[in-house]
Parts: sequence; C-alpha cells; structure tokens
Amino acid sequence: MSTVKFTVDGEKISAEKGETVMSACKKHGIDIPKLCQHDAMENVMACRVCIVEVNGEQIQPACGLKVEEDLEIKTETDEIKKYRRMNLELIYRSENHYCMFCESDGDCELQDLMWENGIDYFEHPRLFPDRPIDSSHEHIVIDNNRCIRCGRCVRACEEVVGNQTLAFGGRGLENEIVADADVPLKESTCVSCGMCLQVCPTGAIFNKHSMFKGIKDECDLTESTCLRCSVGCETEIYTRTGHLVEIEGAESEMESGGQLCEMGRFEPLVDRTEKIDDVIYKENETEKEMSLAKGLEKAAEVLDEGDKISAMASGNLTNEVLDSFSEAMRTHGALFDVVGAKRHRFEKEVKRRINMIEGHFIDDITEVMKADHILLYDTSVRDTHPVLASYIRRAAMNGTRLITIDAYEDRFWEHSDISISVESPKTQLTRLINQVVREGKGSIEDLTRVSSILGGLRVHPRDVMQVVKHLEESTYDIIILGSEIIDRWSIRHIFELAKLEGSYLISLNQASNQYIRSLETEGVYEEPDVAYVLAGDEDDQEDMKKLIENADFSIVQASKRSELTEKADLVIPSLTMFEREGTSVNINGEEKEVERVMEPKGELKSEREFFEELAEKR
Amino acid sequence: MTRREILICSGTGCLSAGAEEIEDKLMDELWKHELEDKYPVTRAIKRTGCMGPCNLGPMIIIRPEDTFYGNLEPSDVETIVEEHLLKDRVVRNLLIEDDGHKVEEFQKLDFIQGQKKIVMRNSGDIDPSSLEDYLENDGYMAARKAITDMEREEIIEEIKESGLRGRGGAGFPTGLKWEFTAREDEDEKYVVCNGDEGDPGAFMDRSVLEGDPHSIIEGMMIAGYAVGANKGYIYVRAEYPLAIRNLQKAIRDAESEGYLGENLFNTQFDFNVELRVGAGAFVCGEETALLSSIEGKQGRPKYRPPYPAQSGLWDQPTVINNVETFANIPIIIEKGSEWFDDIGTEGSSGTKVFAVAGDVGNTGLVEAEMGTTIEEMIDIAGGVAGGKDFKAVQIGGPAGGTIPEEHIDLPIDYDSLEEAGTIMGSGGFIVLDEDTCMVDVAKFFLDFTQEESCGKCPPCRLGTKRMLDILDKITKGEGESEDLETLEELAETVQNTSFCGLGQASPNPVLSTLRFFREEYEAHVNEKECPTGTCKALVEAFYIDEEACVTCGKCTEVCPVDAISSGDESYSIDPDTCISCGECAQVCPVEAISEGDNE
Amino acid sequence: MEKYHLRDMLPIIEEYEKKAGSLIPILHEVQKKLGYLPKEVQEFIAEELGIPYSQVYSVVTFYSFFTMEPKGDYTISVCTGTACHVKGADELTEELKDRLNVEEGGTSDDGKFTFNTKRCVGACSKAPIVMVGDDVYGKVQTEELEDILNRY
Repeated sequence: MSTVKFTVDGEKISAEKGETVMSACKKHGIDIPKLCQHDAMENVMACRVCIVEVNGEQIQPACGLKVEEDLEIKTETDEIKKYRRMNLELIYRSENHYCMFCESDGDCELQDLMWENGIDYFEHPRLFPDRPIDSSHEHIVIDNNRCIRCGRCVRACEEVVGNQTLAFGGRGLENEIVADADVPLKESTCVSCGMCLQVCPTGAIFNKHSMFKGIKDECDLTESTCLRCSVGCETEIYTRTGHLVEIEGAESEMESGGQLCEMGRFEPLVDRTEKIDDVIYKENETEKEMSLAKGLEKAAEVLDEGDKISAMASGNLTNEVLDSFSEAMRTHGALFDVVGAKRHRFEKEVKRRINMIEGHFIDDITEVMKADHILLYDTSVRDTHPVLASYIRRAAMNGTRLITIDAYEDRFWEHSDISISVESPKTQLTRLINQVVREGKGSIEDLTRVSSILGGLRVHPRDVMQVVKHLEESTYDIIILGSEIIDRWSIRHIFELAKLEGSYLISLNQASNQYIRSLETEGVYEEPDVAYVLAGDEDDQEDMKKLIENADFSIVQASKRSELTEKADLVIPSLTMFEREGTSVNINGEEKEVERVMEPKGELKSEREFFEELAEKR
Repeated sequence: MTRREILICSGTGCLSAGAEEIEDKLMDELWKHELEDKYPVTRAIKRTGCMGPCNLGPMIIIRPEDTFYGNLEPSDVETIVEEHLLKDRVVRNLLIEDDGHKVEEFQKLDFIQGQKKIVMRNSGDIDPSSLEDYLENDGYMAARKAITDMEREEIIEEIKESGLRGRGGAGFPTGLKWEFTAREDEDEKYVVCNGDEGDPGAFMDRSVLEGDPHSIIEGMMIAGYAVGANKGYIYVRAEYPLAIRNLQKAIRDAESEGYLGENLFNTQFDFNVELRVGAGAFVCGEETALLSSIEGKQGRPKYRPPYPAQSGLWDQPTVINNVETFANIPIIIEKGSEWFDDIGTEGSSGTKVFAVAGDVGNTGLVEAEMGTTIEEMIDIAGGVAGGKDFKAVQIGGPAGGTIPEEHIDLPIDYDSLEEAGTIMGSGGFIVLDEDTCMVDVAKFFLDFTQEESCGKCPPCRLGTKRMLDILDKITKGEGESEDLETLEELAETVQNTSFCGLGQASPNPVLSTLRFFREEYEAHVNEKECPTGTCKALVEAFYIDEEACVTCGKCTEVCPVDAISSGDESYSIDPDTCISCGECAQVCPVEAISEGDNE
Repeated sequence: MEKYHLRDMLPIIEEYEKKAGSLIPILHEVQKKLGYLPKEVQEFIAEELGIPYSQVYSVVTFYSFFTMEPKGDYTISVCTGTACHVKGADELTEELKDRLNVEEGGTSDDGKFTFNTKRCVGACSKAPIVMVGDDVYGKVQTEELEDILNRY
C-alpha cells in the first residue's frame, strides 16, 4: 500500500492511497463533523456536513474525497463554517428537533453538532412535519418527524444486516423511511436486530425499552461478549444504578458492523420472569426456602445417596463455571454432559471414521461473505445464529449462490437460488448427492430406486443435479450445518461431501460456548437416580426437561423461575448472565472475555466457589 | 402535371394543432380528384418530424418547389389541391408573411434562413418511421465508414479534433469522454443516450428523437464501436409517446435490416440498442441518477468519481451522452472533424438547437451556429411579440440564468454564457418582454427544481424549499428587509454544497435575476410593489372616479369577476373582488377608472 | 374499477424478468393494465422478481408517473411548463378542480376523470395546453373546458 502526504489545516499528514480524507483525518485525531457517514457502511456523501475546502477552490465532502499527494484541505474556513451552519439550520427547522421532548436528548449526534455550531435558536421558521409515527413493533419506534434522511438505517439494514427491509419512500420533501411496501414495522420482514436504532444519529428510531431511562453519558458502560449463541458478538451494556438500560453492539468490531440480534439486544430488556434468590426444597408438595449453605448441604447429601447420577450444564456458561461444575460432578461420580456436546461427540466420531482433517473447518465465519457457493443444511440458523444469518444474506446479495436444504420452510427464501425441502429422514438426500458426486451424473438416472427415494422425499432429481453442478463449479464453497441436525448419518454424509468436494465447513451446535469441544463429556443416563441440571438462564431446554422428567430426584440450579424449576425437587439459585464473569470460546475458536455487568443480588456470589465447596463435600 | 411530394409536419406541436385532420382532409381531396396514382399515400405524402417553426402549425411543404403553407385550416386543403396540385398555381393567400411580404419557399423563411441545420438536418425532411428514407439520405453511411474503414482510436481522435462538446448542459468534450471509456479494460461496456429532457420549455431532444431516430442509433453505434461497447440504452421520458413510438419502430427496423445485431457491416462488431422509458423524475437527467434508473432503482445521484466512463451502468464503463450530441456524430464522421470545427466559435464548435419560446413572434426550434448572438436569435424568431420591449432571455432552463437587455449582443457559446452567469443547459431559450416580473420567473423555476429534488441532500431538499418560501413571501407583499440577504446566503449554500448538478444549479435563476434585476426584488420588498403588475397580491384594486363616471355600464360588461356594481351617480368597484386585470380601465370611454387606492 | 387477479401480472413479469433492470418496465406495463399499482401487486412483483418489497415501493413512490391510487377512465392534465404558466395554466387548473370537484391527483366522483398537472409537454407554441389521455388541446380558454370535458 503506497502512502501519500497531504495537508489538513496547515498540518502535513500521511495516509494510505485510496483512503478518504475523513478516514485519514480521523486516524490523525482530526474529527470532521458528519451525520450520514458511518464506518460500518458505504459512504453516500448525503448530509453535506463534512464539507471541506479543497486546494482553495472546490468544496467537497470529506467522506467522499480520496486523498491525493499534495492535496490542500481546509476544514474550518469562514465559508465552510457558514455553509455547514446553514445546512444544519435547514435541518433544524425542517423536522421536529425540539430536543427537550426527545428520547435521544443528550445522546444525539445532531444535537452535538448544533451546540458546536452555536445553533440554539430557530433562525428560520419551522416546518412542523406531521407524519405518522410507527410504534407497532415490539421494540422499535420509527418517528419520521425527527428523521434527517441520512440513510444510515437504510444502509445498515441492507449492507450490515443483509435484510433490505428499510428503504426511502417518496421523493424530495416527501422522502421518508418505510418498511417494505410501507407496512407497519411489526408486519414487515424486519428481523428485529435493532441495527437501525443503533446507528440513527437522532431520535428518529429508538428503543422502546430504554426510553426515558437516562442518557448514555450518565450510565455505567461495560464491554462484554454476548453468550446467546456461538457467534459471540461484542456488546456494550449500559446500566444505571444496577439496572439494565440498553445493550448495543460494539462498533469497533467491524465484521459484524456492531450488529446484535433480537436475543442479544432486546430480550434481556424485556425479560420479566421472576428471579430465584433462595434455595427451594420441595417435600410432599410443599416448598421450603432455605439458605444457600443449607441448599449446598442438601445437594451434597442427595448426590452422595445417588447411584446413577447425570449432570447437565447449559452451553451458555463460562469456561470457569463449566470446569468447576464438571469437576464437582465427577467427584460425586456423575456422568457429565453439556447442551450441544452430543452433536460435537457425533462429529468427532465421524471425523475419526472418515479420517477428516481439521483444515476443512473455517476459523472465521465472516469467510461466508467470500465464498462463491454456500450450501446451508438446516436453515434454523436464521433463528439460532442471526448474525451469521446476516453474513449469509449479505453473501447472497453480492452474488454468492445459496443452496438451502430444510425439513420445514426455507428461512432464506428471498435469497436462496435452490431451495430443497425434504421431510425427515434427510440422510437419503445427502447420500444421493454424495453418490452423484462420487459416481458421476449417470448414476442418478440409472437407478430407478433413486427416483422412488426422491419421490418419497418429494425432491425433483433436477434439483439434486443442480446442487451437484453448483458444487462442481465452485472454487470456494462453504457448507453450513445448522444446529438442529443431530442424526449421525446426516453429519457423516455432509462431512464426506465436504471431503469429496474440498468444501469448507461451519458446524453449529446449541452451545454458545465452544469450550465444550475441549471438555470431556459423556452423555446421560436414560433413567438416573439423581439429575443435577445447571440451567443458568435457560428456561425451556428440551434435553434438560427430559432429564429432569426421567430422574428420581432432580436438582436445578437456575437464575429464574421456569418450567425446569417447577419440576425440580431442589432449586438452587445461579447467577444471571450479567452477573457472571469469566471467559468463553466462540465459533471461531477465540477466547472472549465475559465481564460482570451487575453485582450479584442474591446470596450466591460465585458459582465457582459454590462448586468447589460442593466437590469438597464428598 | 408535376409529380410532387407533400411533407406534413407531424411533430408533437403540429399534432396538437391538428396536423392529423389536415392529413385526413388531404387524402380525401386526393381521392376526390382521383389523384391516388399520382400521389400514392406511401410515396408522396410524407409525415415528417418537427420542421421548426412550431407556431405556424399545422404546416406542409410541397416539393420540388419547396412551397410552404402554414397555420392551415382543414378548409384550406381543398384550395391547395385544386390550385397548387392541379393547376400548378401557388395559393398566395395561404402563404406565410415575413415582415409584410409573402414567402413562397420554406428555405426563404426568415426563421429558417438564419439557421444552420446539422443536428436537425433530417428532421422535417424525412419520414422518421422509414428506415428506407433515412438510408436514402446517406443514413448509416457514417457508421459503415467508421466500423469498416476506421480504427477505434482514429474515431476518437476525429471526435476530439472536431471540438464537439456535450450538448446536455455542462459541455464536457465528447471525444475525451469516449477516450476514458475506451481506455478501460473491461469486456462489458455500455453506451447510453440521455433523452430525459425535462427542462420546462425545452423540446430539442424530443424533436430529434421524433424526427430522426435512426441518427441517434447510428451515433450510438459509432460510439459503441469506438469505445468497445456492444450494448446501448436510450432513456426517454415517458411524457414523449411519439418519440417512444418512433424509436421503437426505428430499433425494430434496424434490427430486421441488419443495422443492429451481430456482425454489423460484415465485421466482428455486434451492437444492440434497448429503449428504456423514464417514469417522471427530472433528476434522472443527471447521468448517475439516470443510470440508477436504468438499473431499476430510484434515480438518486451517485458520487463522482468514479465517473460513469470508468464505472457506470452496472458498475461497467459507460459512455453517456445527450441526444443532440449523438445526432452530431454521424455527420462529423461523414464530413470530417475539420469541417465541423470550422463551424461555430473557438471553444464551441458546431451548432446548438434551442427551443425558443416566450414572448417572440415565432416560437419553435432554432438551430444556430455557436456564437450567434442573443439578438440574432431573437431576430430569427421574429423579434419580441406584440411590439413590446425586450427585457431578458432565460437560457438553460431551471439550471440556467437570465440575461438582461444590456447583454443582448452576447454570443451564445459555452464560455460566454458561463461568464454571464448562466449555462448552455440543454437549450431552453425563453424570451421575456417588458411585462414579465423577474421575481415571478425566478419563483417559477425554483418551484420546479424544489419539487424535483430527489431529497438526498439537505441543501437541495430543504434549502430550495426555504428559498421558495421566501420568494413566496416576497411576491405576496410580505417580504422583510433581511429576506434578500437570507435568500442570497441560502442560494450560495445550495449552490456550493448540493450533491449533484440539479441542486448546485437550482439557485441560478434566483442568483442571476438578483444580479441583474435587484431593484425589482427591492420594489417587491420595500415598496410592496410589483413593477410589472404580475404579482396579483401586490397589485392594488382599481377604482372609479365618481365625478368622471358617466354610468355607461361598459365596465360591468367586461369585468370577468362581476366586481362592478351600478349606482345612480356612479359605478363602483368592490376592491375585495377586483382581480386588477384592468379590462374595465381599457373600455372606459372617459378614463374614469384607474389603479390604486381611492382614498 | 375492474377487479384484477395477481396471476394476470405473470405474463408481463415473465416477458421482462430476464432483462437486467426490469423493474421499471414491468411497473409501466402493469400500470398500463390496471391503471395503478396497489400495494399487494407491488408485493407480488417483488416476490416474483426475488427483490425486496422495499425496492419496489421506493421506486413506485419516487417516480411521479407511478400511482398507487386508482385512476379514472381518462386522465386530464394541464401543462405547467413555462409557456403555459405565462399563458394562464393556473386558471385552467383552478377551473378544472372546481368543475370536477377534485384536488390534484384525485378522481371525479363518477370515476371518469383523474386530474393532474404535467411538466412541460413540449408544445409551447400552443400554450396553454390541456391533455385528455393522449389528445392534446392547445390555446385552451377556460370557457372551452366544458366543451372538452363533454367530448368524453
């Protein structure tokens, strides 16, 4: 990369060729005011606030202008200041910018610019727009009356989330933000990720649950990692006096563009389930509360008495908690398992049998955006790993061929080039694809048996041939295996296919912490005497439910009341995800820090200490 | 009896004046006189594109004599057939008068004599729906020459040498544009013809597309060959149905006769053209917005660089030129760059077609050599109408400016116009007489651009709105002393900081009228007076001098709003109803009625 | 207003969908057929072309030629170009609004006329211009409007 030198306000600075003046200035600590520019998205040069003087003659937007050798940039001439101020005044008068009646008062980029430019009164008569406010959505409000048409939300929705729900409707003064064909946001194709409100520089799009809870500057900020799925997005969590105010994606992490999904951004804010603070012991249909110490003793006692003990932990806990829990359980002679580990154990077995090397597995999921073909087996990734789903959509929008196979609906129907729907068992389809790949195209027509299988699966042979054709054409294809796949044969066929085709793999499971791959897990007893379920924040996990139902006595350690705690004989409090600290491993295999956001409210202060004590009580 | 050819102008202007009725009547008459063998409809009656002098429509030319009959009524046709066709006698009373004398030949019309036809060479002369007719007039000869005899670089060099500059407004050298695209190393390139002519009052491109569609296809084909593109798009406004029809036919005919498609002129060169119809958005005249529109998106302009020459349609290198520019190409190739460069001025070669409208004797299309002065243009167009005094001319449409009388000797070329604070634009030329209010003119154009703003950037979306609000205030008599200064500040901001050319140029009509007619603005603001009486809110009601009134009642007969009531001694005007049209004052035999307040 | 079936749009979509940038030509054809572009038709076109709903809607609302309101049998429009403006287009506009009892873009109660104004139609020499469908009337006086309306 060659560098060029140019001057900004008399100061010589160097920058990379091809870089914009704005980005070069930013690196040298010169902040040029802006409204529409955002690092996660393409620059559109729309707001005309970042205007600078070029070589004493032209006026250009700093976000569009590329650096050149000897360029002479001035950011604060009288003329520039005058024009910038005029444009800001025009914005100020044209929409509803009565700051004292705005949710974003104090958290507003427009307001900051107004103050910087000394605009604290209306120079021009106001236009008083009167547009309907869309508050249909569970989490998001869109108020076009406060919208400055910078288009960040539109670009975020398209470029970052790959969703294209939001767009500009109308022209000129009629220009406004609409969802789909101007339907209420709630009824639209919105995936509720909240990226739009995170990037909105004014109060035009905001979070219902954070409304009027105070400005960010007055909040405590904790940077952490989201443990709702294995993507492990970096989060910025705002709290005030120990209460959650808002969760945002960390914009420094540019691959995700600061994205979060509904699970990570909104669900914690709307979670109103009752927290568990005390130990509850159920005896003869009555609930008895007891201290944590008593609860620990009771648990040790039950474990001691049990013969077949099964322990199961949520996959959304930290490495430290998983380690200490497994240690304690092993001391008590239990079989240890983690949600999601079963899938991992199958994979390990398949890999050994077909002699598969690790090189097939992608260590950076943003690679999906570089693939020319994606074969998505099980489209539930849209719900289980929404940010990964956004990368798949972005890839498809940029020309990557997307093939989907699913037992239910194709949750990527807008983007998939081939969409195959097969009823369970799906193994026959993958076997068929493998067969065609291995034996050539003739094999599919020759076998009458094949068409009967395909007939039963209601799949057209043409689709199978198309899939094979695409895979053969591709130079970089990625196969993504969703977390709902749990039959060994499907895993085997897909892995074999990857081996045959030289494809790369992303394999998803239900755990957000991929530390489970290095943990020794053993599965569960069908009918245990004692089940110890460390649920954490999980409330309706199927494997856990089944284990509790089949056990003679069950211990559930959870942060909140749920179906699981209802069925347990002994309930012990656990920390919430915001009270826990430690480390976690994401899908890329990177170890991430999980920070404590709030001080534990109950008697339990550290799960690790609790389990160490439990181990000692053998 | 001489074998003749009758040309009927079938441009949009003449069609709206009843050209079809004239044609029907003509065919009836020919039938009646059993002339169908001598005047077979397919050969001898030719529907042509625009002939130019639109206000003389409907019009016909009879050849070989070149006799011109204009402003025809269906009843005139009978006379023409009986006298001219049957008896070889020119019908003198149907001839058009120039300066008091009857003009027989079309070419001798003052309106035509002052012109130099290059772009409009075929329009009004050939049948635009006939490929055969185009071929007879050396059609596709230039393309054949370029594609079979010339190197690509040679063509680009020829266009560069000719000095041809883009006729769409900004005047960028066409050859240079082509060279940039030719240099790009890409397989897919495009040639796009910008026919989204949206300036109010301008219709040059429409007339060329209607009257000579093959010349555009030929120009694009030559461009395609020169830059290495095999696909062209013509983008035409939806408001031009006739142009669309003629183009569709031209493309079909060219395809079936092998002038479009594969292996043109037995070479390896392939070229196809697709027609795209706009959907009503002025901003699509801006090249990047137009390309977005072809791609099926909103016509919102994009930042340059990269320029379309490097990354245009579907991010491929694209040559985009205006209709008139393409119309110049075949003739430059045919006659050579030197010939073309000799026409016009030093920095502006060739001709420019103007749509002359407003307060002139002859409205219509005028193609004049670059360097023709404003005064000469107005003369060609028959001078200011109704013997009124000339006040100004508005050149360049909503992006252009107004030039006052003191600059009437200004030569029309790119550089002189720019110096005078306006632009060539696409060629609107609106003559304004002494009765025109310049504030109202500025407001009219700004109203247009404000409504056509795409909304992308605040200066254009909001700045023009604010300016319009101020102008509205001023014309209503509510102007305040600081308004003019604010207006200027706004204009400067919009001009200097808008995203695209549409926004940047939108304050021009205001700025140029402020520059040359500031006192008119001041009169509106300070004296609350509209010097020309145009701004209704500023014109005071009329009143009747009671002592002078003779109660004849003539005034009540002409009052369009019944504002005048009778009385025993005198009539009186209700000032609230009066619209100050002045009709009453004109008919009053004793001059008892005048403008202003009674008290 | 005739009721339409979404499937009737399929031949139009099929004719154009192979071409790049087919959305605007398709919208032109569909509007020619239905007279307007209702939301459900826009959504249908989006699904058939595999493009976002928002893209179709944003294009429909950006271009003034496209309308989401049903149209009358005839569109009557007054040209508001420079020449027409000077020659009194405003008065024609007011008169037509009065006679048809509509605002701009509206349709008369009998469903016969939809009224709007038009950018310059390029027949300036005949200003002011009134258009009904494709028929052009030049040098129109307000008192002639009744006669023009009665022809339809």
